[in-house]
Amino acid sequence: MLKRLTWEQVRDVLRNLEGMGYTVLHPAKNEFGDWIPRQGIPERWPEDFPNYLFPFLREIVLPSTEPVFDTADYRPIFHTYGKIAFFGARPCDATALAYTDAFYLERLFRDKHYEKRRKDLFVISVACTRPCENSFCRTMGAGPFAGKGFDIQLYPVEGLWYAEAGSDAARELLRDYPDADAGRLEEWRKKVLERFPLYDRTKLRYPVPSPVRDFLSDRCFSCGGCIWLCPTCTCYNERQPAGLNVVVREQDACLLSGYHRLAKGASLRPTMKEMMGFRYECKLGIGFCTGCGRCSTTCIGYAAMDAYLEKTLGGE
Amino acid sequence: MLPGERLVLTTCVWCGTGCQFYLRVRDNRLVGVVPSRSHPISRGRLCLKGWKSFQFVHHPDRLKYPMIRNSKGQLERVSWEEALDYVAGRLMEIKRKYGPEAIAVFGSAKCTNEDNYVLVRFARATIGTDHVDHCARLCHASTVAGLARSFGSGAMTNSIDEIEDAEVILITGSNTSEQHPVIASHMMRALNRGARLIVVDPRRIPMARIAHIHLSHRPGTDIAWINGFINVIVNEGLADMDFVRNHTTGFEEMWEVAKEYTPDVVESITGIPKEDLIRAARMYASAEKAMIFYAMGITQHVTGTHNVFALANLAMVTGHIGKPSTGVNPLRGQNNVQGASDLAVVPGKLPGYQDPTDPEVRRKFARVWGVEPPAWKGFASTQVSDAIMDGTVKAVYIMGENPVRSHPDIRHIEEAFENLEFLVVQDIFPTETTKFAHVVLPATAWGEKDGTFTNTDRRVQRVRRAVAPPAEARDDWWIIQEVARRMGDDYGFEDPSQIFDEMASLMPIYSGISYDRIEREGIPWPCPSPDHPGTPYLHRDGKFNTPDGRGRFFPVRHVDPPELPDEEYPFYLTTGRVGVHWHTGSMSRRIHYLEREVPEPFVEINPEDARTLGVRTGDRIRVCSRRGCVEAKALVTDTVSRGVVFSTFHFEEAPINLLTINVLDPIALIPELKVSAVRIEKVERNA
Amino acid sequence: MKLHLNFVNVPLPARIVSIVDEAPDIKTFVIRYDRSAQVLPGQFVMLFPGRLWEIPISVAWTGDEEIALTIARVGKVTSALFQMNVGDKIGVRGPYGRPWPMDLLRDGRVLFVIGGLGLAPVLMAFEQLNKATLVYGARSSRFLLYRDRYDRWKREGKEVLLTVDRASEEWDGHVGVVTTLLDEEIVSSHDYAVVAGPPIMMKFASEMLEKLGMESDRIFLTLENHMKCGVGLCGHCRVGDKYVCVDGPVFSLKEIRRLEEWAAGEVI
Repeated sequence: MLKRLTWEQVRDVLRNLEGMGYTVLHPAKNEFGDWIPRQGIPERWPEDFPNYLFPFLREIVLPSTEPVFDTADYRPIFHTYGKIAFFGARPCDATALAYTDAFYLERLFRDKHYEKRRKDLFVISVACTRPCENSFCRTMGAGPFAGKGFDIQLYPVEGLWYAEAGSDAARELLRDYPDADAGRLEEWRKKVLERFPLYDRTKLRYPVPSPVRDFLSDRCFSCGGCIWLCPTCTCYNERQPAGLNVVVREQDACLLSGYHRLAKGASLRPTMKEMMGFRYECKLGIGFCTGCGRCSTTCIGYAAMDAYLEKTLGGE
Repeated sequence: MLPGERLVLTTCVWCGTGCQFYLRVRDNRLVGVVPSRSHPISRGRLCLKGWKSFQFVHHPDRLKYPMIRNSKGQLERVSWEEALDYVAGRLMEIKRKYGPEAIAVFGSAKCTNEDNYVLVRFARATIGTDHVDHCARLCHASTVAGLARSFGSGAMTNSIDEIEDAEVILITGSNTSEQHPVIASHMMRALNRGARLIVVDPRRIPMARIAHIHLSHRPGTDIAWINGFINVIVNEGLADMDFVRNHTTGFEEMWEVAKEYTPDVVESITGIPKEDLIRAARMYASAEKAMIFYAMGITQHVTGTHNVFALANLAMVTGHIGKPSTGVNPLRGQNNVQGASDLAVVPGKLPGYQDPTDPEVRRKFARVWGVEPPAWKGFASTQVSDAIMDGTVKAVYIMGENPVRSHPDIRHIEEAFENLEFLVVQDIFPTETTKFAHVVLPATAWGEKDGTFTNTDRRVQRVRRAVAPPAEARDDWWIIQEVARRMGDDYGFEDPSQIFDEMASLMPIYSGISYDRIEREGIPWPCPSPDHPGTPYLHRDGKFNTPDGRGRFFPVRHVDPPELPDEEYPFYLTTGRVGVHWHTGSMSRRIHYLEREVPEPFVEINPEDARTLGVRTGDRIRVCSRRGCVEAKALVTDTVSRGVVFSTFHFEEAPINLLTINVLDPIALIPELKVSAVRIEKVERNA
Repeated sequence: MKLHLNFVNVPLPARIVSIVDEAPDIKTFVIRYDRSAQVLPGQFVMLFPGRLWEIPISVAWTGDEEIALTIARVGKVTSALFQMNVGDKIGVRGPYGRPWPMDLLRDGRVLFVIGGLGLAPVLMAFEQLNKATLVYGARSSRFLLYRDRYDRWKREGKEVLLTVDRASEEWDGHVGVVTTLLDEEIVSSHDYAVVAGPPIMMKFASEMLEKLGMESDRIFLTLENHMKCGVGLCGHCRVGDKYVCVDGPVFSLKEIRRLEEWAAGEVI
C-alpha cells in the first residue's frame, strides 16, 4: 500500500496514534544541540536530522538495563515504556529492529520481555535523503530506505509525504488517504540513492583480513562504545546488583575482556585480536551490521567500521 | 526523552579530560548514560568508566548517616545536629588549646569548585590555618611548582580541541589511552591527519605500540633524556634562537648543563639508544606545531619539579609554546584537580594563585571573609603525618580523600592517624581512612549535586544534580558551612551558584565566568570579564605570565632516584593505574563492568625475568621492598622491560603504597611514587 | 506458574533435597524440580543460588521430580552454592541444550572417554546405553566420581577402565592421563566415542581418537562454553555462527572443527 499525505495529514496520523494510547516521540534538538526524542506531535519535520547518536529504538525494546525478576520470590518483573509511536526512525534503525526481531522472536526461545515491548511499539521511519556522518547503509542494504522493520515508512517527495505501510495496523491507519503513484516514488528513490556511496559489499564480509584486524586491535581502547551504541548489539548479562533484590539484565560488550572470562579466571579469548575477531564474526559474518556509522562516531581509537572500510577497500 | 525518563547533562566524574554526557534518570535512579555529540571535547565519545560511571552512585555501601565513634571504638549513627555540634565544638576546643595551626584540612579534587571554595574559606577564615592541601600534592604539585616558575602558569598551555592540528605529539609519563582516553582519541585523530607520535616511557603502553618512535628509558632518568633532546637540538642548529632571545631568560646557564648530555652520555644513563634519541629530537624540533603531553611519570619523582623544568626548557628551546596546537600540556588526573588547585586547596596560596602576603590581596579577601587569611605557609599533605607524629598537628578535617591508601608508605600514615586527637572524614563510601575517623559525615556524590568542575584544559564546566542523595547524605559545602556556622562564622550560602559568584569575585582568572555563561558550554580560564571569551591557549606570542613576561630556563641535572635496585632488592617497582579503575578504587571497584575487567591486583613482569624466577601469568607472587610486602598475581608481559615491575594502587588486597618510599621532591613536596627497589618471590601454594 | 513459563529468563523456585560430598570441593546437589522428566541425557539447567547470577550445570541424573547436579567450587556463584543447605530454596530453569544423540548411540558400541567432572554430563547417557565402555581419568583417586556405581556398571557388562594422574597409597590401578588408556584396539572395537572433561583433555582425547581411526562425525563432545542465558539470546556462548546453549552443548568433532575454522576466519 502506498499513500500520499500532506504534512498536516501526517500529523493527523500521529494524532490518531495518540488517540489509540500511544506516546508519540519525534526527533528534536535540545538546548545543548543534541538530538533527543521529544514527546508530542512535531510542528514540522526537522530537515537537518541525521539520526540519534544513541539507539533509542533498540533501547525501547531492549533497555540497556532492566530488572528481570525478584530474587526473593522469583516473581518476573516487566519493565516497559508503554505504547510508543516512534516517529522519525531512520531506515537503518528500522532494519536493525527487523534483525533483533528475528533474533529475539523467531528462534528456539522467544524472549517475552522483548516481545511484549515490541508489540507496544509503532515505528514510523522516514527515508533519508542524504548520507549522514560515517554511514554506509546503502552498502549494507539498510538505507536510505528500509525494506522491513517499520509500520509506516515515509518518503518526503516533492513537498508531500509518500507513505508505505508495513503492517496491518498501518494499512488501517492509512486506508482513507489518496493512493500515490508508485512510479514517481521509484524515480525519486533512484535519484536519492545516487547520493549514497556504495562500497564493494563482497569485501565487507567475514573474515577480517589479519592486517586489518591487527590495526583495529592496536587501536581499540575497550570502551565498548561501538557496542553500547550499535542498534543490533543485544548481548546481555544477568546479575544481581549489590544491594538490590532483583536480577537485572544489562547489555554486555564483547570487546571487554570480562565478557569472555570464565569462572576460574581464564578467558576464552584472551587477546584483543580474538575479541575483535569475535565481534566482526557477528557484525559481518552473521551479518548484523546496518552501516549506520554510530560506532565510527563514538570510537575513541578511530578503529570502528569506517577504519575497517578504509583498510579493506584500500581508499576506494 | 523516553517516557518516564529524563536526561541531565553533566561533566564526567573520573579524569581531568572533562567529557560531558547525559545521565538517564528513571524513578530517582541513574539508569544509564547517553553521550553528547555536540560537546567540544567528548564529541559523542566516552571511555568505559564514563559509560558506566553512574553505577557507583546507588551502591549500598554509601555512607548514609552521620556517625560518631563511641567509647567502645565503634562508629555510631547520630543526628546531623549532634554530629555538627560535636565537630564544631571539638575543632574550637583544639583551636583554643593549640592554636589554629594544629588543624590540617584536606580538600578533594573529586568535589566541585564550590565545595572546595567553602572548604578553603573554612580553613583560612573560620579556623585560620594554612595547612590546606589535596591530592594534587600526589599528582601535579611538581607541575604547578615547575610550570609556574618557567612560564608563570601551572596548567595545560593548550586546549584539547587543538590536539588534532598538531604535527608532532610527544607523550611522556602518561598512559594516555588508558588514563585520558578521550584525549588520546584527539591524538589518534591527529595521527590520522598525518601527525607523528613520539612516546617516551619505560613501559610499552598502548600508545607506544602505535607510536612512530618509542623510547624506553630507565625509570627515574627523565632529566637525562630531556637534556639529551636539548643537546641534539642545539648542536644541530634546530633551536629557535630568535624565540630564546626575545622571549626567555636563562638559556646560557641551562645550556652550560645541557651541553654535557650528549647522546652517548644519555644512552649510558637512560638506556635509550642514541640513534633513536637523535631521531626523536629532530622530529620534535623540526615540526611547526609540536605538543608535549605528560603526567605522573614526570611528576611523581623526587626530581618531579626538575623534570617539569626540563620539559619547559625543551619547549622554549624550540619555540614550541604560545601558539595553537603547540605547547606543554600536563594531563591532570582528577576531574577537578585543576579547579581544586585554582581554588588554592594548597598551602601558601589564595584562590586564583594569589599571594597571601600581598597586602592588596589580603584586604580583598578580608572584605569578603571578615578576617585576613593566614600569612604563613602551611604543610603539604605529605608532611602532615610527620607533623602529627611530632605533635604539631592535632586534628585533621578530610573532605573526600583516602590518604591512608593513596599516600606513600602507608604504615607511617596509619601510625600518625592513630595519634590524632580528632579526625573528621566527609566521604561517600567507607574507606581505609574512615577507619581512623572520630566523626564520619555522609556526603552527596557526583550525580547528586550541583556545581562546577574545571578540567585539565582549564575549562570551567557545569555539573548537575540528577537524583536525590541516599538517606541523610548532604552536600559537602552545606556540611562545612554548618560546622562553620556553629563556630560562629556564617557564610549564608543558599546554593552553589552563590558560592561560585563569591569565588569568581575574588579570583581574577574566573571573574568573567558565571553559571549563566556556562549553562551550555564551559569557558577556559583566564576569563577576566563577562564579555571575555576565555583563553584556549596560554602565552600567546611568547608572552609569559612571569613578572618580566619572559619564560625562564632552569638548569637541571640528572640525579639518581633515592632508591635504586641492588642485590637484595633487584627490581625497579614503578606504579600507576589501569584504564578501568580509579585511584583507591572506592568508586570504580563498586562498578560491575569495571571490576569485572580487572578484578584483582596484578604485577606486570617481563617474560625474561619471569622465566628466571619460574613465574607464569596467574601465579601468586610476593613483592617486597624495605618497607613491606604485598601479594598479587603475576602478569607476564612485554609491556615492562627487564628489571622493571609495575603495579597499581587500586586494590585494598594489595596496597602497593606499603612498598613505595616517602621521600619528597624538595620543591613540590611530591613523593617518589614511580621508583622504588623491590624483590620478587613466587608464593608456593599448598596443593 | 503460567506466568513463569512466559519469561524464558526467570528461574522457577525449587528446593535442595540432599547434598552429597563427592570429592574435595565437589558436591552433588539433589534438587526437587518438577520438570525432571523432561531432562534428556547431556542437557543442562540454569541454576540460581538466590543471589549473584545464574550458571549452567549439566544434569548428572534424574529421579522422580528430582535432578542431581554435580558441581565443583570454582567461582563466586559455585562458592555461594556451597554455602547452601538442604531445604534451601534455589532457582532452576531448563532443561536446555542439544542432548547426546541417543538414537544414534544405541545403534552401536560407544566408547566414553571422560576426564574429571566430565562424568556428570555423560552419566545418564552411559547408564542408558547397553554397549558402552568407560575410560575415565581423574587427578587422583579421591577425584573419581560416583565410585559406588562402578561395580553395578561392571555387573551390567560394561567395561570400566580407570586411571589417575597422580599415584597415591590407596590407589593400585593405572596411573597416567586418560589418553594413555586409548589404543587402536579399543577404538576399533567401538562405533562411537563420547568425550567430556576439561577443554585440554577433550582436545587431546578427541585428536587421539581420530588418529586411532575414529571418524570425526562419530566423536561427540560437550562444550560448556560460558553460557549465561541458556536460551540462545545473550550471545556469550557463541562460537562462529552457533550458540552453544541451543545448538549444543553436544557437538560432533566434525561440527566443532567447522566452527573453529569459521571462528578463525577460514570459512566464509
